[in-house]
Amino acid sequence: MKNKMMAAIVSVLILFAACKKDKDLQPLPPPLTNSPELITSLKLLFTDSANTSTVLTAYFNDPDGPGGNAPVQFDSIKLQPNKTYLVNLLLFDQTKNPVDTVSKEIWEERDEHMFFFQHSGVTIQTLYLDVDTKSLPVGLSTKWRTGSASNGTSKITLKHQAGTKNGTITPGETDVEVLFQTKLN
Amino acid sequence: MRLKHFMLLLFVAITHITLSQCSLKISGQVIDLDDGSELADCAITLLPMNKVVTTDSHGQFVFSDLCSTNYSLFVQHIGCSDTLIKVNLIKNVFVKIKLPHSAFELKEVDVMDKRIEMKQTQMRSDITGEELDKTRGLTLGEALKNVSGVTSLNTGGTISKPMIHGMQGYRVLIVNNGVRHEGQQWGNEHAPEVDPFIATRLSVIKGANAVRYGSDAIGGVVLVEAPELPDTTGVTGEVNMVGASNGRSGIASAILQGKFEKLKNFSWRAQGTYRKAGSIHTPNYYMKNTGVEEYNFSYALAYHRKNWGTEVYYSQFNTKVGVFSSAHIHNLTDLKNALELKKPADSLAEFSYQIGRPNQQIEHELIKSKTHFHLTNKWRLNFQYAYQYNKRLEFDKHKPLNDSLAALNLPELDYRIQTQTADLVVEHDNIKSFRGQFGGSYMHQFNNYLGRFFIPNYISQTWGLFATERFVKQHIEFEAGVRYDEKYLQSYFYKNNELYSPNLKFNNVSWNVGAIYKPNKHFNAFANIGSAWRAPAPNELYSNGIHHGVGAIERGRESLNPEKVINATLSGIFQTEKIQAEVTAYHNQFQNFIYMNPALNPELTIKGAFPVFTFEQAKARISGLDIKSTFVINHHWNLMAKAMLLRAWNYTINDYLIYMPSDRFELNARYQFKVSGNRYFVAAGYQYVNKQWRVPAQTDFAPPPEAFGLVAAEIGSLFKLGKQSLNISIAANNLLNTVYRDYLDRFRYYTDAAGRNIQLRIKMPLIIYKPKTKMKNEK
Repeated sequence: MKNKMMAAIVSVLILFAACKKDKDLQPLPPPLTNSPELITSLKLLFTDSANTSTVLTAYFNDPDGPGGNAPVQFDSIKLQPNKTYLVNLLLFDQTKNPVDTVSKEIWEERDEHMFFFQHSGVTIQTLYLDVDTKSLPVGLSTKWRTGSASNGTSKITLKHQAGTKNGTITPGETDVEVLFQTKLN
Repeated sequence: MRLKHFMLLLFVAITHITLSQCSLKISGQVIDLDDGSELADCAITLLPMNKVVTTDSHGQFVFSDLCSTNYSLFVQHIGCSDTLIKVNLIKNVFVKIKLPHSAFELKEVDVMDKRIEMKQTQMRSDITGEELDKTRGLTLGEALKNVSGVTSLNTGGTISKPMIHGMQGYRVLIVNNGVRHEGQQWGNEHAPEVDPFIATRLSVIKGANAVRYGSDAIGGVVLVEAPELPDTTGVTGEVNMVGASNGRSGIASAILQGKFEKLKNFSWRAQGTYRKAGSIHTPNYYMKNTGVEEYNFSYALAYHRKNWGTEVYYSQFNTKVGVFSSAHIHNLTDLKNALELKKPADSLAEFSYQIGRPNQQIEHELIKSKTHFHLTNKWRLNFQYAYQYNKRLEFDKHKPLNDSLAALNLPELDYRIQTQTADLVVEHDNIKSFRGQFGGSYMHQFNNYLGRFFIPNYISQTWGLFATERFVKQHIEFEAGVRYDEKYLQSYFYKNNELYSPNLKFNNVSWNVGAIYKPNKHFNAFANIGSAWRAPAPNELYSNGIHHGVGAIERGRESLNPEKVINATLSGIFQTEKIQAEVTAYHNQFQNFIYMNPALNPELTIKGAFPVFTFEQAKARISGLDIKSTFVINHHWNLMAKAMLLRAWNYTINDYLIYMPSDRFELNARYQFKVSGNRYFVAAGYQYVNKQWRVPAQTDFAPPPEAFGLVAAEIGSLFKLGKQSLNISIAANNLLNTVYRDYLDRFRYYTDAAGRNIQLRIKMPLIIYKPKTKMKNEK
């Protein structure tokens, strides 16, 4: 009797084994807009502090994100020597519709993020104008003081430093790293 | 009376008269004490040499070329107490071992599931019995490393992919319980989703084996074999427990099996494993987020009649593996920073079981139904259908920035593969010295992804037909086989926002011929030449994007041709009383070997510049030598030495192949003794792994690490607590806490390998229920 019961239990278990078949599976890939978050574009807006009506831009735009097609736009930074610019930095995800402004989310999580500006061959002094809740700089808003006429590069890096942010570039992972050609003339 | 069940009855029958000193033979048969049924899959260890054989389907075994001295046979079978038998060998003997397996029961089923033995002209290395016990608690990839010529490609201390003669992933076929395992092979960090506790035997067939197992068995085949379902009534089982110091891991696995008294044609088995481990410790620090949590279970039910039988098997594998957080890099700058650090950024001072991001969550489900018919007493037909579902979720280190997305906590990578396989095989036993198999197979596979694109959705279909025959004589055997396969691959992906759906077809013939030459008792030679091929995989054709954690952009090539190999293997076994030596030499000649080649210019992305690797094809070769020998010094001492040498070359670019195992050597010494009926052993070993300096120029992110040597030690015992026998052993790996990095570990860029690990293993065979003769008579 006991064994018959066991036999019944075992066979039921096997016959009705929860077969995890996904009903929603389909051969078509998911729509592109459904893909995980990406950063595809970086835009720098330079406002001349002496003449706020002049706004210069530098744009790095790779609408399909890393890999795939090459970036469609990669500007040089062209500024005038010996001037002071207010610089706003914007990040976008263009794979989303409508386009997602990622820099807004960076600001919301500013305690975990920091931008770094490393200039080489050109004299540019960068000052942070924004801070996070712990008074460490963020870098979405900066002030650039240009030196004499020269050519070089400006490397802009965004580090994700969850719990490790200390104001230096060392900790964390790199979310953005763009090396712009910079011309002061 | 009950004591009798734990005792052993030994019949010694003289079959031959001694001719010379060391040409004696112990042959025998293991049968059930109560009903006389023949017990297959018993592991029999010949002591002092520690030579292991398993009994065939008739319960038979043989050890030959023995001298006139004292031997012991150590017999293990699931559900039975491990048993030791002394043999004072003077003449050739036939030993009938009666194991107390279950109670008296009149047998109504006479012909059981007798398999037709199909040995091969390729050498097969088994891990079974005591050797298998030693690997309990290890992942499949780690356990297989006991076979010379087998290494593993690791991702940290928790993810391990078996590598045969330098080949892994698509080139190694894993056959789990008779079903070709279809997991996700498109990443080096994807370990096989198989619970090794299911197996009573792990086997490796080195070299191409297309005809029998499928055209893509290029590097070799790994067989994970569960025990045959019992054919005697009662309930038996086995409990395995493993605790390890490194990672403070605990593993428990239990198996129960039996046959019903009333429903005599049914037998069953249920099995389950649970594993939990925390942060792995290198000699100097803990690695953050390297825990594992895993639970697996399986059950099987078989129905047997005189001329046919059917079996249903279901298994589930579920794991959550933490990925060392310092190894989740975002771009080349991060990688460069990681390489410069002596101690990784996320090296913890404290231990933790917590598994955070990044991690992998994997689920693998298998349902199998197998039926066989004995057409005549020589012919048999097998049909098998299996369904596999594999879900792989990978979570990045950080949640999305967008709060609403982050709240969903979705995996960034989500791949699901469903596979259906059907196999029909007809086989025949000796017909005028010929044995053979014919059959066909069909496979339907469906891949679906959500989340980040790396490989496309696809539907693939493969069918194949094969035939193989063997000619068996006393001193020589020949084998020849041929196979034809066709594969269709229909993929779906976006390219420049447009949907593409290319349909590819691949077809090819594979073959093999081989021979075994047995001129005398001391020497056996195996020779085999065979071909194999595989269609390019979807990631090799279509991948296009950053391979996270690798820090590179990988680009598929749609014009790839099938990869083809011709493999030649020559093996020799030499054995005398004091020495057993096994040597295997092999050569693989590849046409269209698929590999990743670095592109000249890095690619510019918003995350910085990334090196680009494209899939290319080349003419290549992999050849090498595996050596294993055992020296028996006396009844207490023996020595074992192993060596593996491998050379690989890409003719097209005139350079070495990447990620090939370096030369390695191993020496083990073992001392065994008995105290009042209990058996003890002490063993120590040293493994030396040479630096792999044969690497292609400028394709790796860091130079290969230095050579290293590791010391291991083990102490173990088999003893009885009342009527319950217990196997207990304590083993230490990396005993000296050596700091090292292994070339075949993908995390060598970021961290040292694991430090000292002390493991305690307990194995307990159980007899849970036995119907009693008396009760039966009363009814």
